[in-house]
Formats: sequence, C-alpha cells, structure tokens
Amino acid sequence: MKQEILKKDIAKSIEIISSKIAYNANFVKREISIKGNINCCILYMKGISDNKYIEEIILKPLLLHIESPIEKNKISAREIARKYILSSDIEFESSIENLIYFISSGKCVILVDGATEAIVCSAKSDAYRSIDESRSEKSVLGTRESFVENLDLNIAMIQRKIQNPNLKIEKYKIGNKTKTDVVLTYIEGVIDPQVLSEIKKRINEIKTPVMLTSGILEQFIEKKTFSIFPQCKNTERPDKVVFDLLEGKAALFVAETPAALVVPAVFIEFFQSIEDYSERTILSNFSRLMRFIALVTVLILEPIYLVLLSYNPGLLPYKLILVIISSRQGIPLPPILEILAMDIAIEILREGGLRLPSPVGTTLAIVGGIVIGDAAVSAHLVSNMTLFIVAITVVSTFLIPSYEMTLSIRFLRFPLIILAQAFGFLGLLAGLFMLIVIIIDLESFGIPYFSPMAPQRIKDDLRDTMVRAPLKESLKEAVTFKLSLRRKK
Amino acid sequence: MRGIKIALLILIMMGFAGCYGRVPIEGLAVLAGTGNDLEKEANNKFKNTIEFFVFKEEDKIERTVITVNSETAYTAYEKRQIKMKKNPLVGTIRAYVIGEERAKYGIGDLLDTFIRDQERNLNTVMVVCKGKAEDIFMLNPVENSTISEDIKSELQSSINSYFLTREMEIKDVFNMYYQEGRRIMIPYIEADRGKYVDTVKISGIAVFEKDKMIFMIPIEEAKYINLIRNSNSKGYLSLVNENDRTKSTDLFCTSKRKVKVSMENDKLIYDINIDIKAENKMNTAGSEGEPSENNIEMIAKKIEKQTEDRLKETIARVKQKYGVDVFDIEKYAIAKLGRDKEEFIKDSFKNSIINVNVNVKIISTGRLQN
Amino acid sequence: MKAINNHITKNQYLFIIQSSMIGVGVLSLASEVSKEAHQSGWISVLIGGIYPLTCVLIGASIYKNVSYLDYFQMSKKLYGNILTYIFTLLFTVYFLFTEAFILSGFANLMIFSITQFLSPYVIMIVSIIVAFLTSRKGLTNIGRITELMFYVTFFIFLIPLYFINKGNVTNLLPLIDGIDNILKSLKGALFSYSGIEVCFFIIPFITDTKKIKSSGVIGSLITIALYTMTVLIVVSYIGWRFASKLQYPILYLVGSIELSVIANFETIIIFIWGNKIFQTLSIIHCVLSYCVSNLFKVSYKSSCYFLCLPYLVLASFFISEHKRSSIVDIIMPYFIIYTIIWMILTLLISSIKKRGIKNEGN
Repeated sequence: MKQEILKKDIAKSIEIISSKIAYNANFVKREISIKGNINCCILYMKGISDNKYIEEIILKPLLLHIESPIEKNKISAREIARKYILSSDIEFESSIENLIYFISSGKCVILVDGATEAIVCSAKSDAYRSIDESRSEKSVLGTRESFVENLDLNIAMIQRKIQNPNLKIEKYKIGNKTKTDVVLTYIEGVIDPQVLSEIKKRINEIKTPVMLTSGILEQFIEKKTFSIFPQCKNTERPDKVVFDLLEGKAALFVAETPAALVVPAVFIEFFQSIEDYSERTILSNFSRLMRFIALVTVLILEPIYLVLLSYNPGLLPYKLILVIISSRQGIPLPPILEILAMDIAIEILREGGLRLPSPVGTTLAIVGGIVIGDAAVSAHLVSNMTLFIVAITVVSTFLIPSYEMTLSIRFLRFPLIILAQAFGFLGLLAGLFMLIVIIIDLESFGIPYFSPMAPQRIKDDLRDTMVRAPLKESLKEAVTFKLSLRRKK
Repeated sequence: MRGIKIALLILIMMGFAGCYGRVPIEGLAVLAGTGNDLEKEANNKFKNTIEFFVFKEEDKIERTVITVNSETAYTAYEKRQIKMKKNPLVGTIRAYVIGEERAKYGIGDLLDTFIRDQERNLNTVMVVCKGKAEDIFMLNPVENSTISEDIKSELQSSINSYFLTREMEIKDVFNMYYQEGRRIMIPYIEADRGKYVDTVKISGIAVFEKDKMIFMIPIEEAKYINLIRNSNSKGYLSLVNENDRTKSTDLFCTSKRKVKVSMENDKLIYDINIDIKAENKMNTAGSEGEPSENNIEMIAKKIEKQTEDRLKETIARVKQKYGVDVFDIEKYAIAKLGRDKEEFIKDSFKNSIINVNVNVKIISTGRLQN
Repeated sequence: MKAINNHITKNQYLFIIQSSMIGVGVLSLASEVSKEAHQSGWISVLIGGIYPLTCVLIGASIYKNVSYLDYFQMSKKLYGNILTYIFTLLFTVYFLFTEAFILSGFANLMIFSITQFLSPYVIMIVSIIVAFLTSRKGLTNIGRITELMFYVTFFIFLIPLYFINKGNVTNLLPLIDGIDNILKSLKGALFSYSGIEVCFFIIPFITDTKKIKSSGVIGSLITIALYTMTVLIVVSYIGWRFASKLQYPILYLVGSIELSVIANFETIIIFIWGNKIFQTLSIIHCVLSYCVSNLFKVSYKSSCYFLCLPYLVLASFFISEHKRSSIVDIIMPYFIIYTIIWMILTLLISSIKKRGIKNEGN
C-alpha cells in the first residue's frame, strides 16, 4: 500500500487526518491564521497532550510574536519551527499515517498551509503518578524511588545512576495493535555479546497484537513457558536495575509499566536483596542464611510433618510423639487433609488480601489466618500442632525477597505434599531431587539457571551467592553472565 | 502435551496416595517399656508385660499394663494384639526389664529381637530386676508418667555415683555381647518399698556369661569393681573416721583407667593404672595448723593408699569368688595377642596377675583452702 | 529437537567419578569385609582402592594415546567393528547388571528402613523415573548435579566423624591377623568400587584435556577415603563380629545417636545417601544408553527411555538383600576380570598404535 503523504492544501490534509481519527471525542483541531494570512492547524489529543503547554509554547509565539509577515510561496515548516516554536523536541513528518500515530501518542502536530511537512512537537502531558516508594520491594536502607508509568522518567532514573557513555538505550515497537514502546538498556562492554544478541533475537521474534506490561513481555521472551520458575526478573527498583546492568545483564522497559524486566536471571538472584550490599557483611550474611532456611522450611516442613505423622511415627523422638498424639486426640481428619485444608485456607486468605485496600489486606491475611486457625483448632478440625507447622511455613514465605519467586516456591509445596503422601520419604526424596534436576536443566538466555553453583565457579562467583564476601570481593566483575569469559576459564 | 503428561503423573500419584493401610500416629499405642519373665512352674513359658500410654483426651495421659504368657518372644506380640485396641509403636520403648529368672535362663532371643527389628530404638536401657519384671510394672510411677521412664531417668542420673558406667543403653549391651573379651554387665534393680512411696532402685550389677546371667554383684561391692572397670566414671571416695564420724573426708572423684598387657612365662600380666581427679567436698579430718599444701597431699596419699588396698582386695576376691573377668580387661589382652588366643585368655584369668596403681590428684578444694 | 549436550568440565568429571561408585556398597561394606578380614577390613578396602585408581589412570592414558576420540571411534580404530561390538555388548551387560544391583539394593534398603509400607516395585519405578528424567538430557546435566550435590553429600563424611572418639581402638587391634584374610575380603571391597568403569566412556567428553588424570585420581581418592573411614569407624565402634552380622552397619551406627527433632541420624543418612543413589543410577543409565544407542543405532533419548524396562525386570529378580548379595558374589568377579583384561589390552594396543604413528611420522 502506498503511503499517503501530506497535501499542499491544508484543508484536504485536515480532512484526511480527521477522517482517520473519526469518532474521537478528545481530538482537537485548532485552526489559526498567522501573520501573512497563512492558515495553520494544530492537532492534538486532549488529555494526553498538555493544553497549557501547547498554548504557551506553540500558540502564543505563532499568534503574537511573528514580526514580519511570511511570504506565501516561500513557506516552509522548518522555517517556521526554526523561528517561532519554543518547543525543544521537534520533528518533521510528511507521512499521514505517522502523523496520526504521533497525535495518538500525545504529540502535537502543526500543519502549515502550503508546506509538505508538518511540525511535530512533543507536548505529552506530565499528568503521571509522582515517583513513589516501592510497594512490593520495600527496603530500609536502599533508595526510596521506584519506577513510574512514564517510560522517559524510568530511563532517566537509570541514566542518572550510571553516568557512562556505554549505557545503550534501544527502542523497539511491539504489538501490532498497541504499538507499545519497549526499551532495551544495557552497558556495552559489560554485557556478553552472545547474550545480547540472544535477547535482541527474542525481542524481534515477538509477534503479538498487544503488549501492555512487563509481565506479558516476560512470557513472550522466555523459553520455557511451563516452567514454574521465573526466568526473568521483574523489579520496581531502579537501584536494583543499575546493579544488574553492571553485572552484565540487560533491562527491558515497557511503556506505561512501572517496572523493569531484567534478563537474564539466575535462581540465586531471587534470594538476594539490594539491601544486602548496604548492610554489614556478617549481618547481611545472616539474613541471607535465614532466607535459605526459610526456603527449605517452605519446601519440606509440611511434607516431613506429614510423613512422620502418617507413615513413620517411629522416627519422632519420644517426647514429641506424646505431644503430637495428645494434641491430635479427637481430630477427625487424616493428616493429609488437615494440612491441605489449612494450606488452601491460607492461600485463599492471601489471595483475598491482595485485592483489598492495602491496610485492610495485610490485616486480613494475618488476622484472618489467626482467627480461622484458632476457630479450626477449637472446633477440633485441625490440631494445634498442624496449625503451628502451617503457620511457620506461611511466615517463611515472606522471607523470600522476590514476589515472583515466592509464588513459585509457594506453589511447589503442594506437589511435594502430594508426593510425600504417595510415597512417604521416598516421594519427598525423589521430589527434591527432581526439583534440583529441573532447576539445573533450565537456562535463561543461555545462562544456566543454577549458576554459579552448578556449573560451579568456586573461585569466580561463589563469593556472592548464599553468602556474600566482603564488598571488596563480591563487587568484582562477575563471570556468571559472561559466556565468553567462562569459556576461557 | 507436556501439561497433560504432568497432570497424568500427578493423577497417578494421587491414586497411590494413602493406600497402604498405615495408621496415622494417633492410632498407635505408644509403648513405654516391656518386661520379660520366666514361669518356671508353667514349663518354662515366658511371660511378657508391656506398659503403654493411654490418651483419653487432650493433655490427659495415663498408662496401662498388659501381661500375656507366650512360647517365644513374638507369640506374645500376637497374643497381646487380640487384647489391645491399637497397634503398638515399639520405637518409643524406654526400658526393657528382665526378670532375674529369665536372665538366668538366657536372653539371646531378646537380644536378637531388639537388634533385628529396625523400628526399635537403640537408646533404650536394659536392666535385670529382682523377682518378676511384672511386679516392677505394678508399682506406681513417682516422677514420670510411666515406670519405664522412671527406670531410664534413674539410670541416667546414676552416673554420678558408685562409679557407674555411662554405657548402659542397649547399643552398649550389644557391643558387650558381640565384642571379644567382653561380657554383658547391666544394672540390677529392685523394687524399693519405702515408707511413703514405692519405687525402684539400683541395687547391683548383673553379670552375664554369653547371654545367661551368672551372678549379681551388690552395689557396695560393685563400687570398686566399677572403679577398675569404667573409665571416665564418677563417684565418692571417703576417709572414714570410725571413732568420730564428723571428722572424715569426702572426695568427689572422676576416674580414668589405662590398661597395659604383657606376657611373662605364659602368665598374663595386666597393669591397670587409675588416675583419679578429685574435688574436695568435705574435709574435717585434717589436723589444724598445718600448711594447706601438705594437708592436701596427705589426703591424696591417704586416699590413694586406701583405694589401692581396697582394689587389691577386690581383685583377689573377684578372682576367688567369681573367677571371671568383670573388669573388662580381657579385650586388651585379645587386642595384644590376637583373636585366636581368646580361649586361652579366658581360661587363664584366674592365674593372671593384675596389678593396680592409683594416682589421686586433688584439683579443687572449694571455698575453703583445704 | 535440541541436541543432547554431553560436554563436561574436568571438575564435573571429578565428581562424576566420585559418585559413580557410591552405590549400595557403602552401607554394607563394613559387614562385607569384616566377615573375612575381621578387624583389619579397612586395610582391604584401602588396597581395593587400587582398582578405581588404575581404571582412571589407564582410561586417561588410553584416550591420550588416541587423542581423545570418542569411545566408539577409539574402539573401532583399535579393534575393528566386530570386536568393538562384542566388547561394548559386554560392557552394556555389565552396566545393566550394575544398575539393576544398585536399584534393587536401594529398594531393599528403603523397605528395610523408612518406607516399609511400599512395595519394592513402587520404589524401583519411582527411582527409575527419577534416573530417566535426570539422564535424558545428557551428561552435562548429570555433571552439574553431581557437582552441586557433592557438597550436600559431604555430610556423609561428617556424620561418621561424630563417632571418631566414641570408638575403641582395642576393637581394631591387632592391626593384621593374617594376610590371606585380607586378600579374601578384597573381593567384597572390589565390588563396592564397581561403577568406576564409566570413566572409559566419559573421558572423551571432557572439554579441558589437561588434568584428566589428577581429576580422576582425586575423585577416586575421595571415595576410597570415605569407604575406608566408614569401615574404620564402624569396626572401632561396634567391633568386627557385630559388624559382620549386621546388614547395614552404618545405619546401625548412626541409628544410635539420639536427636531431639528426629529420632536419629538414620533418616538423614538415608536422605543424603538416597540422593547419591539417584546420581549413581543416572550416571550409569546415561552411559548405558550411550552404549545402546550406538550399538543399535537408535537415538539416545529413545534408548534412554526403552532401557528402563529391561533393568526394572532384571532388578526385580534381586529383591531381598541376601539373594542380591549372593548373586553379586557370583557375577561380579567375571566382570571385574573382564574389565581388567580389556583395560590392559586396550592400553597396550593404543600405545603400540601411537608409537606406530609416531614412527611413520619420522
């Protein structure tokens, strides 16, 4: 199809454009005539574009400040823009299709009678949420800012932190229907070229009508759709992204999404929090250790409890047996149903708490858990030992810093419980082994998901995994995300 | 496709879930102890007693005792099961009590049972009791909810007296049974009919030959045998002033023994060296006015002398009265001479020379200077 | 379909070697050697360690001589097609038996210890599924798993250490009763090292060919040390006579420690050791599938898949431990003799051929 371009006759051009943006209530056509009796038309979308800005920067100079009349036959959009438009960000465009796109993306288009090009000024409204503290990734010692819905602002936050000319920012347009801006940032020379080309390849391969959030983007660029584990890292915090960029990763931003997608990601990262680097070495190691204990607790505490109760009571120490039996007097449910019922109740509460306004939500999750648990115990449906075990498990999930990983781990305990019920300790053993096999089998953009533990790089990267060495050591250049360097070693 | 496969796998596993007829924990009878007796009148039949917990409601734990007659160790199990309302959980047994007659008849079958059954705990205790084990279980527990717990905690706390050994759990019994040059020696208990409460007490040590009990050593005599036999054991040694008992000395001692074996003219010579570290707990015997260092050394010397004499006496008496190694020293001879000499070593115990040497070192005198 | 990735680093090779041997052997080894060698069983375990060491050293030399061709190329070059077929078939049968022994031994142990309620077939099917899923993606994944799990299984080392001052040296004295006893028990010690033969197949997949020998030696030394230490500790703690009567002396040993959360260490040991068994099964399954896929010209994945059945059937003949160990005693010597003959023969021929090539070059 041939591209339509602007006509010399302004009326015709306006007609074509407005016919294409028909039925749009907030489409504004402001016709003016400037000195020398030249007709101009300013086109923009109310709401997306900033009215005040257009009045101040475009209308005012055009209407009031043109000193000498412009000759009709010498007219040129570039000339007008050069002399009279105050806006800093200006483009010239002749294709009508593009102009329509500009208008709908919030820019202001100025048509000049007799000119074959239109002036495009950026007049995007700044009516965005202000930079706020992150809701899902709170920290005590880190920075307080988090990403907002404004793409430019998000990138600016990154740029402010990395003042390095090698920081590259590439723009893609994804989505046949939404034409969403997706920005890829990375530091050239730090990122491995092979990983980078893999990322670019995957982005270019995306075929989708819509692209709305980074969560959708994630699912389009990851390889294993059915894997339980997240292969990219979603984050709201610019400082985290900066850290990751410096490690040799790339970050993807989707327009109008207050999050960045960091690729590639490895398993261990989801258990590291940005605060770890600002805390004292020993204390941060302690909190990392607690996270791993929590991980193990979430995965195996309930299955072990189940197995001990229903199959291997002989493995419990004497005193514990007395306590457990005494607490289970008159409980009609078998252990498996008891645990599953409590677990599902807690999951329901948590999901419910998510939808409620935030102060109520957290209260519901906690109070609801306690109240329902207490009610179940006093109704003799659930023993208080089971309630205790489930409660410990639930609390342990809160220790994992990444929300996505928490979801995965939370889910994983159900198959393990079922396995444990089916095969006793053997099921648990096989389940955990398979879990590790699955994790090891995963790759994120060519990087093994379980590195640097398997394949191991003891000398290079083990300094920042389950524990972290003093910063002098752990901030050294990481090898995990560099395929080429790894080969050499 | 893959999702279907996974779903199928999970479904199959769900099918497996809980089809084994295993009873959950609350459906089991928690055993606390068992007793084994011999009925001499009834054609040497066995009598088996168990003590187990009964849970009625939350936080209310009681105990019950069931006794059955049987031909072998496990026919009792069968017979009992038609009386009991729940399946037994054997891993929780705290104490095996064996009647004296049963012990003399032989406990090889019991040892085999206890080793073979994988679910049995290796940290329980085994004791021989005076009279019938059944009677012991008829007593009312004092400090715990079961007699068996009473017995176990009693043995555990006894290691600070009479130089009793720490090796009293059933795993140690197995070791004594199987290792060369050793014999089973386990505590001997009896019911103590007190004025106010009836309870159990340790009254000696039962000595076995292979799996048969041969005799019992009363606790007073056993004290010095223990001192030779057990390394790293604890007890009190005293200098008693018969005339004025307020002027005596008491030492809390920790012993350590070392055994050396040598051969001379076909005679085995055991050199036993006992190092004692003592804390002065009470000392009113020392003459006042003397410098404290002398006083302490004097006490140490005196105790050394007295203990050595008593030990020599004990050794002589053991050789003459019992004629078997109750000092657990033959194993050193075997380690020295080789496995094939085991018979020779056993036979020559009576003729062997056992030298004993005691060293006492007082390491603390408490608040007072001497 | 994604190609099977078989490449491993020399570090992973070390851990594969290390875990290819820890089979059911480690649990019953002390009883096996105590029967003949009495208190000096550990010496025969130590001497038996020569076998894995020779295997890895000769294996490395063979492949160095043929400049790291893969097994089939190497064998065809040295022996021609027919002999290669026969030799590989023998190895295949050997691995089939080894895997079946391990599998049935595992099932026997699980029934004995913590899953008394399961049928042995269920245990075997579950383990086979695990081994299949692990080995289906090739050696690389296995390498990564062994390397990761090594640190977990390191606890097998630590738990016996708890007993190190609890034992009694008199149980180990006199050091040597007689040489012939030790030599007799060498047989039992050698069986526990079987599985090391996988090194003949995986050496060519190592990416870095520099220090293959030392990696192999370290890997075997770790296992030898572990074996020797466990036998030493078991015998010093419970004495050889009792050890020789028990089926799994180590389980008895760790079962005697009382803990406050779980009754004893036995469960923990089985947990760790079960992991090790899964690894061993996967390693052998992987090598077995590699042999079969090359012998019968089928794809690796399908041979991996179809092999599950024959050895499940084979393993089901060995249920109940006394049956298994008696069959092991009959079959194993032939295989070990075969391996030794093959190994020496191949070493000789490969070095002769290498010299030939050198001379031609001159």
